[in-house]
Amino acid sequence: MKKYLKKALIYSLAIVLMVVAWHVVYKIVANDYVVPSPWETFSKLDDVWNNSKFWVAYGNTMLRSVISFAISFVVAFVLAVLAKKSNLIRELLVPGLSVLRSIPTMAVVLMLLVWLTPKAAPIAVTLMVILPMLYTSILSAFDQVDGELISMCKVYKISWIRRVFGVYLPISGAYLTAESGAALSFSVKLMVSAEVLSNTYKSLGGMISQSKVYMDMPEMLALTLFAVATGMIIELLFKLLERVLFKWRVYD
Amino acid sequence: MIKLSNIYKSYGREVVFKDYSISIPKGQITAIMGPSGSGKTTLLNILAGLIPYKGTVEGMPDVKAYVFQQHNLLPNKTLLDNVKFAAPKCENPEEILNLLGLGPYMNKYPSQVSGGQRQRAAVARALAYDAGVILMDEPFSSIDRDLKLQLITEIKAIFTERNITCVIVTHDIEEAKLFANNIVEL
Repeated sequence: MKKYLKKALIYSLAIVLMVVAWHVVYKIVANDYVVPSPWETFSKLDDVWNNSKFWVAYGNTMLRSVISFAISFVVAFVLAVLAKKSNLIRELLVPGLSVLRSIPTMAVVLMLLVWLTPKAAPIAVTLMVILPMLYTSILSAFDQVDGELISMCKVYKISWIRRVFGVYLPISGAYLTAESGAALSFSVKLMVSAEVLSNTYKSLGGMISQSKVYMDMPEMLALTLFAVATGMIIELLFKLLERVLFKWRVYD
Repeated sequence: MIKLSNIYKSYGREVVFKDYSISIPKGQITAIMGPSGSGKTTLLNILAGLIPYKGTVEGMPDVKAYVFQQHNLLPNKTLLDNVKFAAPKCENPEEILNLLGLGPYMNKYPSQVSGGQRQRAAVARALAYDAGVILMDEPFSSIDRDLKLQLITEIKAIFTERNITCVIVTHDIEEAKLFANNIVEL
């Protein structure tokens, strides 16, 4: 308990120091359109919090982020299982995934906007970026499973499905949960960026884009702070999930 | 009889077995002895079907169990679940664990029990699998002497009573003499 209290105090101190630094920069720049005051931004946070339109936009952005993450995870998981089972499939996937990894995100958003609607384009772009990331994480997690355990599975004729759900997933699960938390948090950030570029209606990114049009810097920052907080909460929740789901690791 | 004839196995340029033949009697414990690098584990892996080789192996049942040197229990499962995972058809895994003195520990994770108890759990898993042959790769190497002697006596009694065919690999002559009915030198 004492350890958690100490950690909470250190984190609070870090936040206070960041706000102080922000205030100092605000005073030095002395231009509300460039750097808004922290106090004005916090007051805007309160306005945004009490605005029902914000919650609709926030809900849409989160839903889209979760959809792209879920699709990416399922596809990456299936591909990683197939790649683990067959070296040919693993090799066949390398060029395609390398292309996906190297495509500039912003260029893809602009191209996808031509082909898709502003609501669908951010989902597609997030999916394209998250998919190779998750595939690599899942496959390297599978690769880290001790080869001796796999020999044991072969001798005891444990089927592939049972190996995946009884050996690979639980053993690499803790690492995968942490990686998934980071990937979901990243999808939110990507989704907001893609929505800003697509100017998606009723979305967090769309609202940020609107604030930019009206040069409402405090609102822009307030909305950005919501996105940052969401990412941090997601990673925290996944860390908690990891502790609950993989209790056996405490003894390992 | 399990008969291995004209076995050829190499790792790159290093030839481990060339025209090697051996017969292993069924219903008995056979110890394969030899210094490090003589191919003891390779021979066991050939019998287990874990590695490719040239030559013929006759009389080896399809269902075989393996007690690995490092037990290879799943860290995410309790001892009981480890046994159930490898031998889902076993109707009395608790009984087998009790037989090996693991009754009070069956709901503990491998990391919560001693090295000797982990090895017993690995033996319990092999017994529960109801295999035609149990292969053991230096299963007592990481256990202190007193416990080793106790385990050898207990496990040998169970194997003898059940008429189990066992092939054990070891470099310890005392272990081989105490545990096995036949000793083969590589």
